[in-house]
Amino acid sequence: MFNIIIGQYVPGQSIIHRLDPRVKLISIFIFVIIVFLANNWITYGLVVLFSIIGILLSKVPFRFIYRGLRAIIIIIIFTFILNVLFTKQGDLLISIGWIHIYKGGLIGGLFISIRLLAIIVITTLLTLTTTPIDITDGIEILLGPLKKIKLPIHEFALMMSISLRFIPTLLEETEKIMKAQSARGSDFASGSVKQRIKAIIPLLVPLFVSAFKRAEELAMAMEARGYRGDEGRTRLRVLKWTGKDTALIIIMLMLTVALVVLRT
Amino acid sequence: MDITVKDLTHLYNPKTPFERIALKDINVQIKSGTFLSIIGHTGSGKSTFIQHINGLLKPAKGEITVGDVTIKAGEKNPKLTALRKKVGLVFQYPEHQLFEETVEKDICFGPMNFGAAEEEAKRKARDALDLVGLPESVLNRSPFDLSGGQMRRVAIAGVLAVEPEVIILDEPTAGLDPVGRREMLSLFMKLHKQKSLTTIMVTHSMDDAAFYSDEVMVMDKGRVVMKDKPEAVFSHIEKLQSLGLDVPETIKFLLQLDERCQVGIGTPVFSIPETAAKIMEMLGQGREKGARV
Ligand SMILES: Nc1ncnc2c1ncn2[C@@H]1O[C@H](COP(=O)(O)OP(=O)(O)O)[C@@H](O)[C@H]1O
Ligand SMILES: [Mg+2]
Repeated sequence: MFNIIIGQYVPGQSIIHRLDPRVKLISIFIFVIIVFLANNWITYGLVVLFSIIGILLSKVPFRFIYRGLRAIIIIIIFTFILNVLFTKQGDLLISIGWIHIYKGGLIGGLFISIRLLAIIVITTLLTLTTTPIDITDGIEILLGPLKKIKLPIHEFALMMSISLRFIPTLLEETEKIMKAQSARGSDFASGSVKQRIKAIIPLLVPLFVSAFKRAEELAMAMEARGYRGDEGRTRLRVLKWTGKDTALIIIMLMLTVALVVLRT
Repeated sequence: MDITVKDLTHLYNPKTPFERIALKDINVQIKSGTFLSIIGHTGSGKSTFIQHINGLLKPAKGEITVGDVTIKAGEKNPKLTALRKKVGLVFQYPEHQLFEETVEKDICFGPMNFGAAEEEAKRKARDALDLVGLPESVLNRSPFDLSGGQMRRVAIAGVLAVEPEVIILDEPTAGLDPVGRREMLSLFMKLHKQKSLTTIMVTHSMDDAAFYSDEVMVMDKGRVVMKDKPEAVFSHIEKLQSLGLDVPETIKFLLQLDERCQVGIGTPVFSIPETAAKIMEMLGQGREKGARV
């Protein structure tokens, strides 16, 4: 019933998997910005090349990447069509009735689609090769300096990792209670809107009850094990910056320079 | 109601990288009026199996027939309401399904879903509450104010109020204290006899499986390994141990005794009086054979 894959992490040992999550986050941040520098065939070619190398190095089967893209592909196609139809630049290629397709529109549409695709592929690659916990850790450290101005970064990160941890549990619980109520004759799948809303109550009440119970138990267990918030707390998993991380940063800088030089 | 399961195979998350075979080619006949216990290691597919019997899960292959309803892989389900009315399913920790403001309303939920009028449902609620041994005074209390054991009884009453002909119990005594366990089990035994039910109970207790059932079914890795009378199943001690299962305490005791008597334990027995008689018999035979006992 719930075939959603949360966090969709695909376990692996590839070089992309082993990169420091901080470096991955920074690199994606840089990538998303410099993609906008590309404006001709060579620069877009570089962007595509970079994305393809990323996919190949991660050794993630292509169907996982495709699954991440499926929902977005409609939007990309839509943007492409809008661009083709409404940009009037360059030579007129085709003209049927009110439809006029110009060369500029075609190329522009293609470029925008490549840009969107590249951004999505690269960010998908992050979630596919990094555990949610690592991503949270990375964000917490990168945003660490903001603690100085009293932003609750640690609490935010903790909230995020606890939620990530409990989403599958909650889905499992939902499925279980739905089954239990179906066995007592509940019908979640048919009936009028009003009937369906009424059918949700026997599901929501037990879910809330158990979520609150779980939260209380978790809080108690954390306190019992000495959790006092961020101050003085050390990390179990220390992130390690290695040679390949420096290499990636250098590659990102080189890509930036290349895009700046080669753009027209 | 007879239950017939033919070539039942079940897959979780089919056609995804997370696909998993939970049941494989299961063929089982359960005669009307049987008390069947299902035992097996965690993850052997017990819960998956029983959920097929009232149509909560759909087979990937094979078919299940309960009374006159048949659920077949690849075909559209028949109307399941009639089936679910006849097959009551008590999940593990059933108290987690309580949601109404009062015990009475919660017990009435099932009967009213299956078309009972309010007055009729209330009458059934009273009867069911009586069956599970709770006083009428709890009817107007909130189920969330009750003790854990009482909550479980209310949840079970909610299933009994539908008046099913088959009752399926998924580890009904998990998390109860020893007294609560014994009460719960004698309750199910009483119901089974009084209402001539067909009862299917998933359990981790070999003692309960041996003592209460007409038949015991052993599952392992999604397959049925044995299904027979308790005496027959619990004679295969090594087989059970190789599946990570235990044997009833009475058998363990008799095996220890037999190490000294060397006369063999014969037909397994599971109750205290029968075990006492068996001990006397074994001791007698042992002395005749000249063992020092
Ligand atoms: N909702 C589910 N989604 C995916 N796999 C499941 C689900 N429920 C059970 N399984 C898997 O199916 C197998 C059988 O589980 P289950 O029927 O619950 O066993 P048992 O009740 O004997 O412990 C296990 O390997 C379990 O991990
Ligand atoms: Mg189970």
